[in-house]
Order: sequence, then C-alpha cells, then structure tokens
Amino acid sequence: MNRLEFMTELTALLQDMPAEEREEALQYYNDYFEDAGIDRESDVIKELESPKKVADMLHAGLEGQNEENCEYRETGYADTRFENHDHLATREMKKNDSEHAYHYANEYTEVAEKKPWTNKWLKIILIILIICIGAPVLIPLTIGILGLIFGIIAAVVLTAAGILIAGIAIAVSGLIILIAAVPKLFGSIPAAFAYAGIGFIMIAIGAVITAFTWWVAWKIIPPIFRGIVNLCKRIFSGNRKGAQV
Amino acid sequence: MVFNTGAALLDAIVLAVVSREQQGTYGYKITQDVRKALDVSESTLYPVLRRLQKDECLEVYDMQYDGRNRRYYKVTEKGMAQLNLYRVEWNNYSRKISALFDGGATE
Repeated sequence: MNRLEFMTELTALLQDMPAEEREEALQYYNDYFEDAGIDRESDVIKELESPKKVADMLHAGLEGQNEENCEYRETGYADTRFENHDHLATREMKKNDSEHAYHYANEYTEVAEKKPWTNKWLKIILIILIICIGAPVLIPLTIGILGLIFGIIAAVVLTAAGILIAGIAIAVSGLIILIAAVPKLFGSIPAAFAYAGIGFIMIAIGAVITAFTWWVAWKIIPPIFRGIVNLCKRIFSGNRKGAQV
Repeated sequence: MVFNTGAALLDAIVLAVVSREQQGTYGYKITQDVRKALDVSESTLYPVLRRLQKDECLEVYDMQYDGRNRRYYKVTEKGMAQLNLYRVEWNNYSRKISALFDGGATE
C-alpha cells in the first residue's frame, strides 16, 4: 500500500464523520506524509498499520473516550481498544470495537440530522419578520388585486346580462307590437300586416340576441372563472413553496 | 519503558513540546520531538492534538511551506496554565516516587 492508496481508503472510511472533523484529520495525515518525505513513506504507513485502525481511533477520539483506554506500554503509547494482539481475547475485543464504531456512526447521523431543525425555526422567524414588515404594503395590494378581479368579473357578467335583457326586451316589444296588430285587422289590413311583420322581426331579433348571449355566457364565463381560480391557486401554492425552501 | 501511563502525561508532554516553539510547530515535528522521550507511534498524536485544540489549550493556523499549506500548532494562554499545572503535579509526583525509590518516604 502506498501513500495515495492509504489516504484514499482513509477518506472513504471517514465519510460518516462531520465534514469539519474529516477535513482536519485528512489535512493532518497529509501534512504528516509530506513532512516525513518520500523516504519515510513506507515506515509511516507501517506504523499507522492500516487506514481502518486510524479511522477507528479517530472515531473513538471524537467521542472523548480515549482517556480511560489509552496508556503507555514498553512498546509505546497505545489505545487498548484498538490493539492487535495475537491473543485469545482478540476476537472478543474486535467485536466490541465494531459495536463501538457502529454506535458512534449512529450518533453522528443523529447530530447531522438535527442541524436543519434550527434552520427551520430561523426560517419561520424570518418569514414572520417579512410578514410584519411587508404587511403595510401587502394588505392594501392584496385588497387592490381582489377588487380588480371582482371588477372584471362584474363587468363581464353584467355586460352579458345587459345584452341578454336587451334581447329579451326586443323580443317582448315585438310580441307587444304583434298583439297591437290584432285590433288593426278591423281597420286597415295593410297596417295590421305591417305591425305584425315588424312584431315578428323584432321577436326573431330578440330571440336570436337572447339565445346567442345565453350561449356565449355559458361558453365564456365558466372558463374565465376557472382561469381566475387556477391563477389564485398558483399564487397561493407558489407562496407555500417559497416558504418551504 | 516498562511503566504504563495515562493520557494526562501525554497531554503534558505534547504541551511542553509545542510550547518550546515560539512560532508554533507542526504535526510531524511534534511527533518526532515527543519520540525523543516516549516511543509513541506515528498515528497516535493526532487525537491528542485535536483534543487539546478543542479544549482551547492549542490553537492552529496554516502557513505556506514548500508550496503547500502546513498546519501549525501553538500553545494558548489556557494551554500554558494547564502546562504549569501539569508541571507542578509532575514535580510533586516524581519527587515522592523518587524519594520512595531512593530510601524511605520523606513525608
């Protein structure tokens, strides 16, 4: 194993550590290799033993539990949990080590998951602040926009209603003229026919206008309403998305 | 060395080694200096340095060396106070042990 392989493996083994701790440790061992020089590279690797051992030690060291477990021997400073004896107890110890490592790894993810929680609160406070500051502008603006929308709807509906009523009125006047034509039958017959003709024409025109307006209103007004509802939905859902980011 | 020692003495030795350098010193050199007194392995000083740094006994800074950033360690005021405490404790401890070894307790 050379330096590059060692550092690559160590980097991979430290993935579950907080980024800051990982960077610190990697910088230290990188510096260490640099300062030891190429001549001592293999010595250093031999003494470090393996990336696994270094990573285990770093994981445990972070927990601040080294103190009870480390000591000097005639062979030097050692962490009793991470020794490799050719000993009967080795297997038992290794099992404990991996349990330790697993336990630590879990705690790290918990810490990492807790971090965004404070950010969320910060965001909520920020949103409240924005609402408080923005309210004097936002509330009149909202009322204005709602008024505008209401005005447009009223204009469209009332115009349609006006045309409809006009159509009905024309038809009704036509009917009245037609009725008025009946007594004329006993006086001037051509006048009666003229009255009746005008009455029929007006009824026809009125009916056409009424029917056309009715048809247009049914075709146009619902889509306009649907469009407005969709627009409102988009504005509100857009706002909600903005708040969640 | 036949005596086993806890982490406090290693902390003390590391603080002493780092405090000798006014401008601060770096990981490899600290290891080599500590090795003059104790046979520590290459890997074991990092957790000690990191812990002392977290306890604000050491501060770190990066300095350009040979076209790269090298991390330097320096003893803080708190570190100096801690080192003095260790020094006093060690003097008391070693004096008593030496007294016992060299012919009877004096206290």
